[in-house]
Amino acid sequence: MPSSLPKPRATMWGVIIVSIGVLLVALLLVGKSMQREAESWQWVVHTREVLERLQSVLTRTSEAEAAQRGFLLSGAEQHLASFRQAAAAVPTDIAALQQSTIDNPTQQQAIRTLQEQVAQRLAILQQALQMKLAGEALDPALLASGLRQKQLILELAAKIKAEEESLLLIRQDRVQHARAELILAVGALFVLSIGLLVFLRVMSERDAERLRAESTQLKEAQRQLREANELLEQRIQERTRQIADANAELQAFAHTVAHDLRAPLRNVEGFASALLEDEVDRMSDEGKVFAARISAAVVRMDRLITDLLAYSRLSRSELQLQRVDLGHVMQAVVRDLESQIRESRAEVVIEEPLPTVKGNEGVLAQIMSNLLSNAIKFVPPGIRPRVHVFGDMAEGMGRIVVEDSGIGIDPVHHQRVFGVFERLHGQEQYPGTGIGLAIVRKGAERMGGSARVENTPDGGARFEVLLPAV
Amino acid sequence: MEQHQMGIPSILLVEDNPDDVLLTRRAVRKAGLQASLSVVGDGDEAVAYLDATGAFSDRKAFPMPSLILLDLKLPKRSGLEVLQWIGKRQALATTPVIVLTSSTEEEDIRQAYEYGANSYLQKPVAFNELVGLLHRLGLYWFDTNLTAPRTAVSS
Repeated sequence: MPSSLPKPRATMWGVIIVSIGVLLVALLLVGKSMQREAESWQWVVHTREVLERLQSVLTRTSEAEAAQRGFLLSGAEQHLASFRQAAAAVPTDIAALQQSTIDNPTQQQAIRTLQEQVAQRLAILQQALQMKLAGEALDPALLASGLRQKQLILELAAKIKAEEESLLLIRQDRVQHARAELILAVGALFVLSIGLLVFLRVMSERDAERLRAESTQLKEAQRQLREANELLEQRIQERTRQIADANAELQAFAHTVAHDLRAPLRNVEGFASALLEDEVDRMSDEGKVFAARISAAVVRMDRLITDLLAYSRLSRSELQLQRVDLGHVMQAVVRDLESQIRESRAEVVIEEPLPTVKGNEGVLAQIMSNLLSNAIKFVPPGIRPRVHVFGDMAEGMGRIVVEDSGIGIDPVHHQRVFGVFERLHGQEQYPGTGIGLAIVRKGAERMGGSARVENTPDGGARFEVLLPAV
Repeated sequence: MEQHQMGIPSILLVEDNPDDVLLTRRAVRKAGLQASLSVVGDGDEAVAYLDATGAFSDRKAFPMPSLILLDLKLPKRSGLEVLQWIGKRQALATTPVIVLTSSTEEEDIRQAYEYGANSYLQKPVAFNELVGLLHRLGLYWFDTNLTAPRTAVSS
């Protein structure tokens, strides 16, 4: 949808540009037609001018002849003056005629001949006049040649006139043609303009229509999006409430476990101990064993509850992360496990310095405590545990490694050991709740780190915990 | 209620579980605490006892305790509410209150201290450890720790 919006605009602009181009070309054509029409008209005017000048030459010649004849008959001086005037004007007229037909070589030739003939005719007229002035009698041969000459001139003029008239016809035709063209061009321009206007109008109508449709679609889509968002928001709120409720229930559950589940356990142990102390004289040896076992079982269950609560606390509470020196944590852990270390005569080597990481001190202490006590616990009977703790920084992560000389873990169980309640050994062999390593992994993950295990070349276990550096 | 000898310190145990009461009495005896033990079963009773009202108006039979052992999970008024109430009583300002409860939940510990507990102890699951704990408690609070003389109390 969004890509089709600019496209009609582009074609619209294209159409407008093409239209303007077409209009310009049409205008140019009209201009050209007008020019051509004007030029053609110029030629028609020119042809008429030529004809007029030709007529003027003939008229002047006739005037000169009439004036000469008048003088010959009357001998009046005024006729003589008229003759001289007309004869003087003829060459000027012929020169003008010659000038007018400068574009036409045929006519030039004809006009030159005409000029000679006219000059001869005028010379003959002049000669007759001279003879009259000298008082001589008129020479009939001169008259006859004058008449021939006149005939020649008229024929020649007719030829020139015919040529010019045929030219006039052609030129008038051309004017007609140019006019038709002009009218056609103007008409085409008019039609084109009207068509263009209509086209643009239709285009803009359609564009507006499409815009309206798209705007409606867009509004609809926006409304749907808003509704979907609101629904999502509602669902998120609902889910958040459900999660908060579940979390509150979990808290309440943990609270109940912490308080109420322990009370009867404590009482069972208390009374079993009371039996062992107050009734010891009246109990059989078996009875004493049973009472002792009741106590032991209860203590184990209490530890299970403690570990489970610690594990669940990792999931339900927000962990405050801060800068923690694992060296300090390790020292505190060693202090806490002092009796266990002493009893097992374990050799614990801590290679200082240990990295400083970003984490929760309490959880880190729990992780290190669980790893260290596991390393001390899981050794073959009678063997002195040896534990090596060291660490370093790599790729923005702090790493701490706890290596032991113990019984190791079969690689097939390397993932399983991190699960809750996962135990690989019997309670009698290695007592425990099966939650310690689950806390290690969960705790590391909650702090943005990870935990893994592998075996050392000599069969012990090697736990590695990665934690974000400060 | 127990006989109260003059001169020896008295402990007020606020505990609703009769088995716990029984075992705590036994542990106090075993620990050799030189103290008399008074017991109330819920938060309201604890308040009444400390305020010497109702059934507890006789200060001779129900002496002001030198030490209060307070469970958090109690019927009616909770241990935390009792702590809050104690915090507002000028007369009890110098009486140490020790929370003795099952929970080690951080939230419980934090709130207990916020409301003015002087110590927070977890009830050990093994009876012998409870004996040991009470013994150390006696050593510290009665034999080592100094308390201010109690201001005159109008009952």
